[in-house]
Amino acid sequence: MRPWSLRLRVGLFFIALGVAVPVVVMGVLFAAWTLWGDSLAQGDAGPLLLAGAAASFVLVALVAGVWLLFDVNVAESLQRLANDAETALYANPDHWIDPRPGRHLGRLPEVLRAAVKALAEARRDTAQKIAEATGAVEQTRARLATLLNELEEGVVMCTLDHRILLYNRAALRLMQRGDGELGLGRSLFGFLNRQPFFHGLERLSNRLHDGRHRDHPDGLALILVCATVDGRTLLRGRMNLVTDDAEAPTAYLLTLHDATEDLEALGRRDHLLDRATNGLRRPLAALAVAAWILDNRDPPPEVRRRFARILAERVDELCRMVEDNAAAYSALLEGHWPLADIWSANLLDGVVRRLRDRDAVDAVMVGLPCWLHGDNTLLVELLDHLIGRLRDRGVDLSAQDDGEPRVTLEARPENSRVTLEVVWPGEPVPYTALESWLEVPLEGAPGGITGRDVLMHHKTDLWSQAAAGGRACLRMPLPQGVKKRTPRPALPPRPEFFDFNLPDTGARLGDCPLRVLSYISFDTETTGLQPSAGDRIVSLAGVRIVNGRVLTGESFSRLVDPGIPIPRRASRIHGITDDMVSGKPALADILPRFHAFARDAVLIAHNAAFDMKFLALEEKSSGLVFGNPVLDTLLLSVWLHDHESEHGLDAVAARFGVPLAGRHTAMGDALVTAAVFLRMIDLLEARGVTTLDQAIAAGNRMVAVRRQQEKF
Amino acid sequence: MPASVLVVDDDPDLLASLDFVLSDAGYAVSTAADGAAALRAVGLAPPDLMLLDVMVSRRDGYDVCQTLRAHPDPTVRRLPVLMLSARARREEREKGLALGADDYLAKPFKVDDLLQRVARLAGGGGA
Repeated sequence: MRPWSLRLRVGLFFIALGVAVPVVVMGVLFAAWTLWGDSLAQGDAGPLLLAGAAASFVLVALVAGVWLLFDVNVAESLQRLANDAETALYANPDHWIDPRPGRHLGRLPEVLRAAVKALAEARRDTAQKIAEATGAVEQTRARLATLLNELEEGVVMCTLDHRILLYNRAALRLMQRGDGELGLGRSLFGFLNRQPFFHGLERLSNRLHDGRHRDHPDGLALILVCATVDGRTLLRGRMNLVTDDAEAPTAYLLTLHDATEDLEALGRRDHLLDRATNGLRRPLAALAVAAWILDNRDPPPEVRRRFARILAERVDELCRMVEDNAAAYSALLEGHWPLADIWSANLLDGVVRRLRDRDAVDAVMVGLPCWLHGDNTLLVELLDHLIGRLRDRGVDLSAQDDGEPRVTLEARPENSRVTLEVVWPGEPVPYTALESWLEVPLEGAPGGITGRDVLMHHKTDLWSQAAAGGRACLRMPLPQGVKKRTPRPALPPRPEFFDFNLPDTGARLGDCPLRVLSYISFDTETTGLQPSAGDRIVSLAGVRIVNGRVLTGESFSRLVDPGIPIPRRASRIHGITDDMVSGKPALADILPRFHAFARDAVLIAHNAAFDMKFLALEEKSSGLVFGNPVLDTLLLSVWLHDHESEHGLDAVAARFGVPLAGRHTAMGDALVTAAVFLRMIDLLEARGVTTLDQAIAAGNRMVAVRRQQEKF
Repeated sequence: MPASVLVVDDDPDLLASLDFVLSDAGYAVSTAADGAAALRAVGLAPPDLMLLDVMVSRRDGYDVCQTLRAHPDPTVRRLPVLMLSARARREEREKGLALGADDYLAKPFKVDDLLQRVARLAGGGGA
């Protein structure tokens, strides 16, 4: 049977009330008349007053009862429904609207649920359509991501106020040596020195403004040299100004590579050139004058002796300088030449093919291949050159009838080096002949490089000696292949390493809309609940939120040695034991990195007072003050859902439809908190809380809960 | 009366050689091993020409040259200076001339070239 309608029930209720009032009044008056009729007849007003009081009492009780029923079944139910509807509408479309409180409100809960369900479906539908429409874009995006990350050059794009919009893996490797963690929305100057960028941007802006970029050979680009903030790495690259269709600058793009070695070598080369030219001027000046005197004048013997001595000393000095310069030059050549790991089979095969095809030399590769370290092109050219000179000396290297190969080439590991050996039938090459072969520029090598240069680049030498069976050989030891690859910095499988929609946050932080701010959602796991009684942090993790996205690729997660045993009851909660933290750094060592990671961001935590207390305890010893604004998802939850009694992270996450993963790990909780906060933003805005200041004020109003937290 | 030349250089061998060459050419030669000593010598008796090395200690050649050009005594202010230097780039030569040198000679130099320049600057040369 269909329940009575809300109107009918309210109508019947008030009819009952209308009937009850005269019934009570008449009943009381009748009772008074029956009991005290005589007294009333004698004009005694006492019973009448008593009856009035009794009637009033019953009526007041009746009204109170009616109010109570209305409050519980109508007012409170309406409020709960409104809250539920709001949560479903703004934060979690799947939020369950509890029908029980509204069971006296007729069809209202049912209609509301249908409306919310329809809305949720409509949203899902829209989201799916958007997803389909953006599928192609996503694919392009994924390709771009792969491309960027495979580039050897660091690529960084920045806003005109130098905040990072995009970076790739190589940039991470180049710039991470600075203080702090590279991340979207962060200032470039946390990692690189600022002056070159101010200067470069100004030059490019002027070029654009004056219209000179149209004729300029570099357009809107310039070469840039900069250093990491720690000064350890010099980077060289290009800065490109990015403009929109109307030629207004919107951002700039940097391509960077590590130029420390290049520039240092260049500096050393300049210094050496200066020494080899200008450095000789001073000793030569006195030498030239003294020589002129001896040559053109005829000084007395004692004066002559003096000038002869000057001559001898200056010649000595010049010889020393030439030796020093030669040593510096050779160090420069050795140190600078880029060598790579080579598979000897590839190297020797290249030589063998060339000799066979071009010169009909009967050469074969023997022995087991191995890794060596060198310049493939130069080594092929050198071996080719040397074997060519052997033929010039009259050694017959063409194939013979006996089927025995005339020339064998082998790479053999020996004493932590790899010796290249060329063996042929005949006599060893005399030293002087070999030396003269090495002085000639190699035909296919760049820049007139000689055999001697190749040996110097490989820090080695070459000699010829007799080999078994009437044969002779050339031997050249080379560095072994390292085969040790530096591990690439890890990026998550779908890195969030660009965001072209970074909002303008020029306004005062407190006035900034919640949507545009950068946040660090963080959490700690501890040895207990009382920092003031000696409890310590055992794990600290945070993740960055930029432009409404949780950037899992920009996270911070460390285990911390608390310096005290972890109680078993704490380990049961977070799973971190003494063994796991042994050998890990102390909080004092980790905190500076976390401080740098959190710089410029708003901190978010669930029950933030608890975590902040632990951080504050370190302030004195570390000198690091976390002055960041702090938002507490627990306080915000209390403010948003004051009708709910549960505000633990589990309950709040469930209410906002955030799936739980890795609960009670610092990183897991930080991620859940981040997701909860992002869902809260819509709801907060619907309640008129749009800026950071307003959100902080809303949280602060929940003082009762705060007091509860202060027990920690 | 031979023209007087003050030679300023911190290389004692070059100082001795130039002393011999210029004396031999008939100049009255005095020497100073650093900038401060040179200025003191000029204060006592201004020579007709100063051969000034740039890289001398205790007030370098540029400093000495500028001090001379700002001197209250017009004889000292106009004292001809031939700057000698192991720095030979065009911009370094320009700098020396801009700071008050009358001529600039890069080391090493030919003695005949030096004697020609000295003769021109010291007004006629030695006896």
